[in-house]
Amino acid sequence: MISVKDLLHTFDDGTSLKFPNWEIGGGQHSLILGASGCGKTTFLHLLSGLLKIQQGKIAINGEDLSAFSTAQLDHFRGQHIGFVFQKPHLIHALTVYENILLAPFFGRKKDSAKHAEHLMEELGILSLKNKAVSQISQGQAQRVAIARAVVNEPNVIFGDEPTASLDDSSCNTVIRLLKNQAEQCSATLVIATHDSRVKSEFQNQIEL
Amino acid sequence: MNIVYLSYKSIVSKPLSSLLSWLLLTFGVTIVVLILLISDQLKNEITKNSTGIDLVVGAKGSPLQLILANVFHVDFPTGNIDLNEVAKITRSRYIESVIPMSLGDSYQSNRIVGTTKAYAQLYKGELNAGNWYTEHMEVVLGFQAAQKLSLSIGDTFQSQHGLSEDGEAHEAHPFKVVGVLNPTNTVLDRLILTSIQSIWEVHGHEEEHHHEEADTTISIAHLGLEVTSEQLENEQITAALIKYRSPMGAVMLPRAINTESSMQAASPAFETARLFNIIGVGVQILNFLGILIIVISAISVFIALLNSLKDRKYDIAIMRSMGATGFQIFNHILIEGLLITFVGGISGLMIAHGLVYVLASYLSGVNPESFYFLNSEWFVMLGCLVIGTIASIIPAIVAFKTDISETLSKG
Repeated sequence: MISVKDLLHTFDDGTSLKFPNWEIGGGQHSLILGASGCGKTTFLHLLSGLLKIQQGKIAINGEDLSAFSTAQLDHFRGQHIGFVFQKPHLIHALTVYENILLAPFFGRKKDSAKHAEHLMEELGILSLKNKAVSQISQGQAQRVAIARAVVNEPNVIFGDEPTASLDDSSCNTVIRLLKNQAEQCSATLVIATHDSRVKSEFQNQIEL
Repeated sequence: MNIVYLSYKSIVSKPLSSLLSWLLLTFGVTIVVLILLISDQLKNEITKNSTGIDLVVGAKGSPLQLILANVFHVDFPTGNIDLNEVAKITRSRYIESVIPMSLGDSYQSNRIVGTTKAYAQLYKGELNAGNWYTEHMEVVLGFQAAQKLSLSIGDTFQSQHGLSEDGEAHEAHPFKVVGVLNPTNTVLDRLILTSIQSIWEVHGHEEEHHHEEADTTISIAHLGLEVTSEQLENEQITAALIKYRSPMGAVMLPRAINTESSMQAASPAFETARLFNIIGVGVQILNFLGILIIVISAISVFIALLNSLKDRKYDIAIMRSMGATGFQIFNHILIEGLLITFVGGISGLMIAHGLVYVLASYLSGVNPESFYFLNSEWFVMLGCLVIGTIASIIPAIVAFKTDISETLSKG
């Protein structure tokens, strides 16, 4: 599913990070662990095509990300990848529903929009459909963010500290929802975190 | 969901700054378009009303006043001139036609003009109903005058001395309506036409005439008048409208009249051009002001967009993470700026036309066509879009260049 080989990233200030080789099988939910500032986010951005690969190789579903142009990476992300961040980062100019519809629009997966409502119902946010983002709670916003990440039925869902700012029960809910949704669209979860509460939930782990 | 909708929602989500940009642009465009419309309509009115009049001869005074009073019927006449002198000086081979005019009375602010049928023909005025006046004290009404005064054929009214409503009434000499003209969209529509003899009669010179009924009439063919020898000697008119037979007339006549007679001659074309020169400075200043406001609005769009990018950096990065291309983000910001300038331009255009419409209903007699679009207005719209593009292109480029990974890792 995902394979990382000889990956090296050099920052503008000259420091470089070498990442270990890693294999993730299909449906094998995985964790990237490490203290803050050790390069988890950089690793995640490289894996998800947000950052151009300078050296080494990453293949997802057999496609070599290092060979892609910026526009090809944009397209690849839209088609195959979903994101969940520490904060929901919804777009305030749009309603809850419109926020979710952004993913099919930018990901060029028009058909995905059809089951957006069904997905919202599953996540218990259908009643918020036409609400402004500013009117909903943080927990609800996190669910909207999850809906936005999975609506396109991606192959991989990347999470960057999705539980870091949540209390214990919310943390459990988010992990449960992410796992459920990932299973439903047979996606692989890859989560970067330093949150020890999450560790026990995933078998495949890598420590940076 | 599409990019235009996204831009629209983004505008609506920050109503105050959008309102400011929109207001500024609307205001600027309103001023510029209003000036365009008014000066175009004014020129139109002037051409329409002065066609066929090459020269106006009247009493000495301001030449502009002479034109305004006798061609456009807006200012007061400069005084009177002797019929005898007019008859002599206009018997020239450079002149094709002369229309005598006698002003000074009005009825409820509609001016009564003593003249000949030729005056109505100058504006292609034809009878809508009734007949042309044949007897003294009969009048033919312009179309608007008849409507405004609610007078119809057979009605009588007493004229007032002077051109304002508070003039003293000529009670002993009521006028009788015998005809109404078709609308011509010229100054003729709001005038009341009668014979020059009627004006003389109202002003009390006619009494002597009644004592000498056997008096023979003299025909002054080139003026279209038949008068008694006594009238020719004693009576006065206000002005004569002259049409040249050849361009030589323009060279010879004005100088001859201005130097060799007690009258003055003024050319409508020359005087209106002079008038435009005088008001031209004001028009230019207003125009400059309008353009300045449009530029300020462009700056406000620029600042609003650039400022909003600070808050939207994350939005943009999120959209990119979902697969949006840099080009889509560029369009998103550009369209946002263009939407504001487009809507501002359109509303400015509509307000300007609305104002012309309102002005038109206040200024009776002027007939501005408020729904007529000038070519230059499309240029104003185009200018708005160009300025909108210039204002939004830098923010759009900044948005295009947003470093997704860096922005997301700082979140």
